[in-house]
Amino acid sequence: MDRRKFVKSAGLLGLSFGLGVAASPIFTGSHLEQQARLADEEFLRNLGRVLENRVELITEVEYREESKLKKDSVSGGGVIAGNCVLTAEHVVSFDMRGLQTLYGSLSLKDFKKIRENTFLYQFVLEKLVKDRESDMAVFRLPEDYPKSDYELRLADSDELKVSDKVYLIRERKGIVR
Amino acid sequence: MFGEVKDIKTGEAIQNFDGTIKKGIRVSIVPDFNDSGSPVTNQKGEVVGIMNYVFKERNNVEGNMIPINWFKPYLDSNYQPAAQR
Repeated sequence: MDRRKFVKSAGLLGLSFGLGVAASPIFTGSHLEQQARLADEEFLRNLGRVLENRVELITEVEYREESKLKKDSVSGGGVIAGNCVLTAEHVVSFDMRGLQTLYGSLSLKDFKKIRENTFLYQFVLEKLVKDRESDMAVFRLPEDYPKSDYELRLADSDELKVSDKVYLIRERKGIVR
Repeated sequence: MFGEVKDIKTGEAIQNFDGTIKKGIRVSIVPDFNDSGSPVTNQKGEVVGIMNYVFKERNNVEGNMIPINWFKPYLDSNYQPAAQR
C-alpha cells in the first residue's frame, strides 16, 4: 500500500470510528438528558422521604429558679431515621441564658432543672443521647408510633468534599399532619 | 434552600463568635433560628447532616451542620443496610 492510500484508509477509518462513537447512546445528548432526568427523579424521590420524616419536637421543662417552681417549653425540628429521631441538642434543651465564659455558661440566677420531656405530637420520646459538646441529640420513638413506609436515605458524610452542593430542608410552614 | 460545602472541621474544633467551641461541616447556607435540627441533603437527596448553628468569623457568616455519620452508631442496626445501599 502506498503512503497516499494508507493515509486515506486511516482517515476513513478514523472518521467512521468518530461517527460511530458520536452516534452511540453513551455520548448522545438524549442519553445525558435521560441521566439528568433519572438523577432528578432520585433527588425528588429522596426529598419526598426527607419531607415525610421531618418532624417538629416540643420540649417541656419544669425548673426551680430562686426557689420558685416554673414551667417553660422550647421547640425545634428533627428527622426520623428508623426508630430514632435525630436533632441538635440545643433544640431540645432548656437552659437559663447566662454569661458565656471560657469555662462554659455561667448562670446569674439559682437555676435547677427538675423535669425535661421531649414530645413528638402526644408521644414522649426516650432520650438516647444528648451531648452538648457535639450538639447531637438522639431519641427513640415509642413502639406505638405510626411508622412511615418511606424511610430516610442517609449518605456517607465522610465522602463530602468542599464545594459539593447541599440542600437545607426547612420547616414545612402551614402543613399540619 | 441550597448552598455548598465550605469547610470540613470534623476533627479540629473551631471557635465561634460567641466563644463556644464547635466541630462540624461548614456550609454556605446561613440558617435562621427555626432551622436548627433540620436535615441537610446532598444532590441525591440523601441526608448528610443536621443543621445546628450560624457560624461567624470576621466578615464571613456561614452555617454549621453535624455530620450524619456521627448519628449512625445510635441508629437501629437493622436500619443501616436500608440506608446504605
